[in-house]
Amino acid sequence: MSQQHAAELCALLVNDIYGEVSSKVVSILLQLGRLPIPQICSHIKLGPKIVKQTLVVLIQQHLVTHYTHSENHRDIVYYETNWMQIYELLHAGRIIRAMESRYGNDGALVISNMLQLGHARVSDFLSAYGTSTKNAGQDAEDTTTSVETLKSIITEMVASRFLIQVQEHHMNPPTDTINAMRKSLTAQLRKNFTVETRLVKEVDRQIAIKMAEFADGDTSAHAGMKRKLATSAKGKAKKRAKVSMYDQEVEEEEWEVDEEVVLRVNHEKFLVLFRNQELVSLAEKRLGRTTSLVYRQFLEKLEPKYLRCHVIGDDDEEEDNPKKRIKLSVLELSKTFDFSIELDNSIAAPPKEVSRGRKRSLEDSDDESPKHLNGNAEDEDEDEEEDEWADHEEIDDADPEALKKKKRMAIIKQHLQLLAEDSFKFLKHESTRGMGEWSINYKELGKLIKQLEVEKVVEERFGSMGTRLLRIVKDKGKLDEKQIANIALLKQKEIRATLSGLHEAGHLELQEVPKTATPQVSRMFFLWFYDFERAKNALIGDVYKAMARCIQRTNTERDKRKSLLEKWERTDVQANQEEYLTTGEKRELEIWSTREEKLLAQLMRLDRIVMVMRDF
Amino acid sequence: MATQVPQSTIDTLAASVYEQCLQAPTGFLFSISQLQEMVPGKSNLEVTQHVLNELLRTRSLSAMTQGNQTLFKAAARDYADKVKNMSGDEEILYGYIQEAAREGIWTKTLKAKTNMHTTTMNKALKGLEGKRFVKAIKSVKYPARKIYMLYELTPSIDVTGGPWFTDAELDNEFINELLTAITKFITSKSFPRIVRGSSVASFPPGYTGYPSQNEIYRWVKSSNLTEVDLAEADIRNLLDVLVYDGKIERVVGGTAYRAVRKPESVNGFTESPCGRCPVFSLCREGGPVSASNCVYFEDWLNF
Repeated sequence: MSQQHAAELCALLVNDIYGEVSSKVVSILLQLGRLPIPQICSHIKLGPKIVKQTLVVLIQQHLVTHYTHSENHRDIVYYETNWMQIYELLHAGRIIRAMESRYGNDGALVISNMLQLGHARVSDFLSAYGTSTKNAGQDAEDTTTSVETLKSIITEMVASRFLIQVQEHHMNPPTDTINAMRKSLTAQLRKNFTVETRLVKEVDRQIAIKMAEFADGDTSAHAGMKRKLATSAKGKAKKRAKVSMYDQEVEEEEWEVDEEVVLRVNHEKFLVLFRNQELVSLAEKRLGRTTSLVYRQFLEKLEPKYLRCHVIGDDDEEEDNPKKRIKLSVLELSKTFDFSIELDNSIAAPPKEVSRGRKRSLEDSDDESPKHLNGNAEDEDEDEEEDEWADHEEIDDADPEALKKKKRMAIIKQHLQLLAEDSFKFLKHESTRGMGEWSINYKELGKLIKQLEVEKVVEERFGSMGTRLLRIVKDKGKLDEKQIANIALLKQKEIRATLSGLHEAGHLELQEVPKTATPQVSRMFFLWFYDFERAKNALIGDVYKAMARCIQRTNTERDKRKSLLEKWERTDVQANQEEYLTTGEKRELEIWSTREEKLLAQLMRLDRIVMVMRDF
Repeated sequence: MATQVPQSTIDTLAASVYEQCLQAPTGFLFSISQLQEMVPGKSNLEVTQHVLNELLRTRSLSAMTQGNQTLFKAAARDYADKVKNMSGDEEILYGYIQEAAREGIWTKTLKAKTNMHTTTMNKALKGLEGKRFVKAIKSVKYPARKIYMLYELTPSIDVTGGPWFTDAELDNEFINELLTAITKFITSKSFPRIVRGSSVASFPPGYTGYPSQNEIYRWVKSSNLTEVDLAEADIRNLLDVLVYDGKIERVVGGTAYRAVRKPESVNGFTESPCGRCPVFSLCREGGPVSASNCVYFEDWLNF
């Protein structure tokens, strides 16, 4: 069911952006799987020319992949849709906003053009951008500097992997890539193995490694870049200092993006970004604003090290290996910690800190709060760390600046401890190096936020009784109605309706266990249980469907006002709105715009759920 | 026959014999000869016979046989006092009901055991109820059954279902009120007092001042929230429910409880018309229900 709704949604999305023919092509490919051009034509009853044109657009956008098979000595090209990529169309707004907040208006411009183009060669992109500023005059800066700025932004985006190089395998369906790889590897390795099963195993192993490499692409620091010419370095450095207030490491100055490289948007990386945002907002709701700000800094610092939300391959292994975990210490964090975040106030302000101190003194007989407030003393083991830190930085304790810094670090540490101690386990404490080291267990956190999302939906649909029942069943495993009622302190009669409602909505599952050999309804246990995967998929399916309805409704609303909107879009009307539009029409337009806004906002909120449930 | 022993003498004698019998450990079985010795003017068989008859009549003694010997058992005084005034049927029923103790006995079982006719039994039971010797109670397990128990006994937990039940019905109001009160208590202990509009703060990491189960139990006990006698295990049940409700969570290794700032339930799905749509499963483009003719969407857009 979920697939069906996803297909419907994808067709609608493509229809919205690329028009009816594209939508037809996409939906037939979604329905029937891979097809060669003649078959696409016969199914949608359109000529090959227009189908080909459509496919070009879709391939450019990475919405359709293709692969050439040789069958009976004839090459046949199959086309296949990449529905996840189609879904990513919805994220355009989020992506642009994220880039805008990071790189300013120019960043938004770069990324929105990249999204529109699908993929583009850097040099082409730069020249197109140059002209576009000339024509539209959106930017006060003249074209040449704009190109420079733009290039530096692209360089940064490539460095942080928001943009990546297009590789050949991006254009092919992964199955075909794997098949081709398997073919060549088998031929290559055959002579080394006598037993077929071992050969297959070895080939599988190598394929897994290669696919992981493919997925990661070139992860070296200067992938897709070339050394910058020494002559232009000076001018650029100036520009950069003006444009970017973020990392200005000297080393990077010497590199810029290779203009011959073809770039595309790396959606996976953006999902990492969105996941961090989601976690920060969760932390804010749970632990308050200041702590969430510290958390954001922590996550942002680690963000470059996460290529995507999920580790490819067997991630259970990954999880158990403490060496592979990505860690960050207070010391490292404090180096780049945003000074505009008012930590000092949070510690100096009496309400919060005094209450902290007082509570602490209730707990511990040896009251350390006054010292603690000065930031001079910590627990004993922390003292050691501080010494280590002091040695490392060679800071004089008397220096007020250093003292302030130290105090700041102590507060940061406290916030991190809070995050780690929370039952949501926002962080995982790793070691005491550098005033304490923490890592993030994204896998567990992902499970947690998914569960929270499910519970929210249940709460809204069935009230607090629904969540209570759901959590009981989840916690206890399989239970019959009576046991649930006993634990929940509710009447059996009352919970029955809710339970069956939960079942109907796909949140709970029911199993029948006959007491006797001949199954009879009266002689049967009915056990409720919770299957997270099933519940998750049911919910995602429902959300896809709801999203499709939102788009459909938007279209309906638009169709209702078709003539009016056409009139409004005319340039002469746009210029003289007061004159050409009647009061009624203006009101109608207003209604339309609020409705469209509402529906779009709703679509984005639904998208958030899908991201949480599917991608994080 | 010899001179008739006057009733008054027999009464006094019977009383003194009964008194002596009560001295013996409860459940002690007396043989006839033992009883005979208690009657003054020994071996006066006739007197003994009268005395015994009198005692049996007033149910102070009950006769039973062991082998081919007849033995007597002394009944407790209050029992004897009650049974004295009962009819035969009543007495039989009373015996069974007493035997059932705090579990109570179902009328159907009574009927099977006593072999009485329903009307006779009902009449007798009514009599007993009227004299406040027995009472009818409701069982949680079998709400439809009529169950009798001695008037002075409190039904066992199996029958009442524990403190959460009032008249064999789960007392939702009572439970909810307790839940709210406990949540308030835990919340008050979970966050630092907010002074002068500062942002919501947290206790420092490692804070262990959150209330434990025992503290909560003592607080409930001392707070006069309820007259129902709650055990610590009952409080535990309540805390479990609160944990399942997501209102509190276990901290400090599961020994203490802390209130949770509940993330407000904003959810794009359930706030959209589709998330609460009763005919969502029927909805499809071109079908009887679709996005274009949806009334819920219309309402929602006009809102």
